[in-house]
Amino acid sequence: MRFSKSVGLAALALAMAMSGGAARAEGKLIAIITPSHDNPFFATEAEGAAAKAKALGYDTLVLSHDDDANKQNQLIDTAIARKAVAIVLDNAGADASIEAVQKAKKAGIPSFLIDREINKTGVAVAQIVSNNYQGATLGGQQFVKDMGEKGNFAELVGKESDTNAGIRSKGYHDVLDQYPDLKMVARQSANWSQTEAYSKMESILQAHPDIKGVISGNDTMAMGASAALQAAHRADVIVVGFDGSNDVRDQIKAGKIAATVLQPAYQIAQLAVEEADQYLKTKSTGKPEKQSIDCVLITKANADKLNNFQLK
Amino acid sequence: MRLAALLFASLALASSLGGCRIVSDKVLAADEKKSPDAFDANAYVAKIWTAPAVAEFKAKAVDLSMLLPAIEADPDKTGKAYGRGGGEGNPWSYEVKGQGKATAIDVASRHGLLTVEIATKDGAKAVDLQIGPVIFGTALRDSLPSVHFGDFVNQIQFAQVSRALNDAASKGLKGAFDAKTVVGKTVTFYGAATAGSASARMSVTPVAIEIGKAAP
Repeated sequence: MRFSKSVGLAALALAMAMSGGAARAEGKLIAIITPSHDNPFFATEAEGAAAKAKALGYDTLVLSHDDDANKQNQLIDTAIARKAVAIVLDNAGADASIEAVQKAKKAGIPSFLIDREINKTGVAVAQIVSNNYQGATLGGQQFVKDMGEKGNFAELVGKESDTNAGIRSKGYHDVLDQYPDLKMVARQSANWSQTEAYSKMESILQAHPDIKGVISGNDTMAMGASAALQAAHRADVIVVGFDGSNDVRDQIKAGKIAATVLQPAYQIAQLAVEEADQYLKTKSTGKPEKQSIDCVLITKANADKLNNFQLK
Repeated sequence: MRLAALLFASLALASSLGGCRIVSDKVLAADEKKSPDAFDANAYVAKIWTAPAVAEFKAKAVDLSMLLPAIEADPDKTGKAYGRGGGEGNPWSYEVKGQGKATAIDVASRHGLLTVEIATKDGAKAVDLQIGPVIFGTALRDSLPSVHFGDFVNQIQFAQVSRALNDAASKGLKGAFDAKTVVGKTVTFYGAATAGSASARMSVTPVAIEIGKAAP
C-alpha cells in the first residue's frame, strides 16, 4: 500500500514539474470560510481576509457554511483537497466546530479562527475573537443611560444555535439586571433576521404599548425593529443594536437608532491572515492562541468615523 | 438479509457523519456538568482577591499625578511602559493610585461616581471613582498581570471573572467613606483604570479608598 502511494506521489511531482503548471504548484492557497455573506458583517470579514491574503501573495478560496456545521465539515474537506496552506474560519458553532478544525490540523493545515471562538485550545493556531461580551456590556450601559435607568423594555435575541447570541444576551443582562427599575417585558428570538424582527417588534408593541426601549442582539434585527417602530409612529422607543453596520450607522446619524457596538470585523480578518503568513514563514504567530479584540460603542458622537466595520 | 442491509446502512451513516461521536446518556450528562457555564467565577476571585490582587495594586500602582499627563502626551508609549493589554486597537489598562480632593459625588445613579481632583504638572485633573453598586468595564481584570483570556474556556468565563472582581471591589468599599460628607475631604485610593478617549474623564475602579490620609 505504502509503496504504491509514494510511487504515485513521485509520479505526480514529476508530472507537475514537467507540465510547467508551476503557477498552480507555487501559488499558495488560503481558504476563507465564514457564515453567509447575506449579512454584510461576514461579507466584510471575507473581503478583509481576501484583500490581505492577495496583498501577501496568496491565492484565495472564499466559501460560506451558512451556519451549518455539516456544510462546514464539507468545506473543510474541500480546503484539504485543494491543499490550502491555511484556513481562516468564522465557525459554525463553538462545540460543533472543534472536530472540523482538528481534522484540518491533522491534514497539516493550520486554522486561524476569527470572530467566534471554539471551546477548546490547542486545535486552532489562533483564535482572534471579538469580545462580544465586553461589547454587549457597552451596549447595555448606553441603553441604561438612554433609558434613564428605568422603564419597560424588550430584548431581541439572535439565532439560538449561534454562541454569540447567548454571549451578547448575557453581556446585556450583566448590566441590565443590576437596575431593578428596568423591567424586561418581552424577550424573543428573531434569529438574526431583519424581517422576523419586524414582525416580532409589531406583536411586542401590540402586547406592550408602554414599552420604552428595545435592545437587540445584532444590527439586522435592530433595523427590523426600528422599521416596525417607525411604521407604528413609535420613533420615541430607544433602539440599541450590535455589529456596527453601515445601515445602522445611518439610522444613528438620522436619530432613529440610539447606538450600536462595532465589532472590528475587517481588522480581525486582516490580522488573522497576517498571523497565518507569519506562522507559515516562522512556525509561530508570536502571539498567544486566544486573542480578544475589544468592541467599540458607536453613538451619534462617532458614527461619522464608521464605515464597513472599520473606525477611522 | 434485511438485518445485514440495516447494519450496512447504519455503518455507512456512521462513517458519513464524519466528526460525530455517539455517546451514552451518562457520558452526555457528565459532559454537561463540565460545561463552561459551570465555572464559579466568585470562587476563583475569592482565591486571588487579597493576594495577589489587592496586594499587587498597593505595591505596583502608578501614581496618577504622573500617569495622567504622560497618557495625554503619548498614550502608546505610556501604555507600553506602565500598562497592560493594549495594542491591536485594544485600550491600555493600568494599576493606579491617587490622592486629591473629592469635588463631587453622584449616588442618584446606580452607577455611582466620586469625582476626585488630582494635582499634576499640567494642573488639576479630575478622575471618577466608580463607587458602585453598578460598576462598568473590565479595568480590574485587564490590569492584573495574572489573569489571561487564554486561561479560560471562553469569553463568558473571562467576563464572569471581571464581574466577580468588580463585585468584590464594590463590596470592599462598604464603610470606606460617608457619601454625605466625603465631598471636600482628601481621598487616597488604589484601583484600576482603562484609558479611554482623550476627551473622556478617566474612570477608576477602586479596590481601596481611604479618607484624609497622607500621600502614599
